[in-house]
Amino acid sequence: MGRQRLGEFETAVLLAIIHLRGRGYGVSIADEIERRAGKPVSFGAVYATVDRLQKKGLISSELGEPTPARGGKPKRFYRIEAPGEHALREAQAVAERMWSGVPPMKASA
Amino acid sequence: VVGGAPDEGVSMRKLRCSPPRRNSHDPTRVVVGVKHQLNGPDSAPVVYHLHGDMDQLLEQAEPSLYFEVERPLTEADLVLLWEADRRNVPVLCEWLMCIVIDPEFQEDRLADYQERFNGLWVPKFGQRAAIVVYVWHVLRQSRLIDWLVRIFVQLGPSV
Repeated sequence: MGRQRLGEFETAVLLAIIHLRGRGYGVSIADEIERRAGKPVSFGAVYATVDRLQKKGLISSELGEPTPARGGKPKRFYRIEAPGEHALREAQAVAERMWSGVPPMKASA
Repeated sequence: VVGGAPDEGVSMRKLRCSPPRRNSHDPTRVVVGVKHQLNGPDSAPVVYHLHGDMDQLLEQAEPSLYFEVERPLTEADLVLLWEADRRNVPVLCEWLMCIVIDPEFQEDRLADYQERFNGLWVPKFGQRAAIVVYVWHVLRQSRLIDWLVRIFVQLGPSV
């Protein structure tokens, strides 16, 4: 498999899935990104991204048990796969190399 | 009035309950409206332990007496609450969403949207604005908005 370059939002979705430890589904992924990044996230963007990541083989999904709290409708939980972890590590390494040597910046007034 | 667990022999009457609604102060409990029917032919018997003078009050009550009981949330309540919330979701939006979502993902994603609609958009924006937000999401999800923007941009310079 070739090297997988991740976009900013793809990275955010993958990290949210990791933070949610197997309990990441559409709503919780969007909430997790909003909570950590502090900006609103569109459902459509999350779904488009998880679909793309799944096609690339970076994540997989499975339907959970139907619960009464959702009227018997299941949640689709996402899980990161080995190529996804590898792509994240590479993205982190690239970011660290880019930041390396940059002098501390003063906070803007 | 607090309805407790069935307590046989304390107070058995024919009571008709309304669908449960959420207790705004305690998410683990629901509020149920109970219509007291002295001789209702089609009402199932329900047993409640009623505190204080409620027993006596029911004895003297009119057949149409209505009161509310607070009790712990059950799994059956969750289904009823979800179905009640379901009625608020704009059907047209769900129908449009079904067109743009792959059939494999329809069930869970429509449920996600319902959860978002009733859990965030309605409380935050109100029912009408929440419908507008839902429509916006349908347009985004269908990429129709991108198509409209492209058309607008292409037409822009010549107008």
